[in-house]
Amino acid sequence: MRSNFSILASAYRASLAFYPTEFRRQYGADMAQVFEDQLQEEWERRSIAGIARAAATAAWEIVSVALPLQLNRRISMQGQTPIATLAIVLGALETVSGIQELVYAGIIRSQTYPLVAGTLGAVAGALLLAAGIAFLVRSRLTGEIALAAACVSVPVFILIGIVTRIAGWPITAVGVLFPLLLVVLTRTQAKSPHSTPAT
Amino acid sequence: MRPKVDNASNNLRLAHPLTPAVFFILFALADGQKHGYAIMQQTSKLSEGSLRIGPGTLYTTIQRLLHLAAIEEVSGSSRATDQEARRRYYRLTASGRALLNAEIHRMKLVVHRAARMKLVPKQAG
Repeated sequence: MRSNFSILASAYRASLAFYPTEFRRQYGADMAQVFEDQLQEEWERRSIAGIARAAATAAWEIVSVALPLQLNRRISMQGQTPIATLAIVLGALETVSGIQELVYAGIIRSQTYPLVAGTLGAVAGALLLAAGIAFLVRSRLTGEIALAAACVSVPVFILIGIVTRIAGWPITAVGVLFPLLLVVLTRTQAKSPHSTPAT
Repeated sequence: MRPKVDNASNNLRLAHPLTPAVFFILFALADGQKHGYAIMQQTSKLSEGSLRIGPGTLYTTIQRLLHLAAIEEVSGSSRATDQEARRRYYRLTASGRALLNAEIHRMKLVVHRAARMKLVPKQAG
């Protein structure tokens, strides 16, 4: 009784829009067919849990499969240099401004907050810079360096938020989110069809 | 576009250990050609329900294995019903079978070493 789950099947077909066009053209119809077969089987078993599980898996795959595929396609199309270059530029700026804050306000004026924030900012910037370079040279350590940059950026983000009363958050959020983007991109690269299935 | 065999062979050499999805899809195709849903059912059966893949994972993995020339598409024109004929069937290539055999061999070695280190209980009988 396919009509019993036609809404789910239609929703799934609509969700295929999240997959890259080329992939969808090649496999979309087959994927929809497989999803309907799954629903049909679970329906025949009278398993509501099975239908819910199939739907939940399909929904989760939008995040775990479709979006990484989209990201990967965009990277392949545009080349990876702009993202890595942006990481290098942002990292360099963050390092310079961190050192500047550390030296002028932290060391010369002996203020505690700039000393801590400047040091952490400089370290986070240096890590982001290193992650950008590692990404460019396709180093296996890219993900780890980018993750370290994000981890160091979190206390900077909190510190600046506390001291500047939220006003500094939008800018420092980049310091947290950008390295995380690099982590996602690195994982996406590893999952790309051009990499080995071992990844 | 047909994948270049040299590149595929190179990639195959780098492909160990395999991800669970890749391994079980190759495993599912070991006893003959299957369409997508049959592969999905077989992977679930072979993994005793521990691996449940969705259509997205299934077809991205199939795409990757086609690229590696580990599997190939088989024409469905001689199928019994229209619905079956419309489906795309896949089968292992010689490279895919070699990849699967190498992975099983690697697993056997790991289990053997684990047994020698007394990490695996001896099977009864």
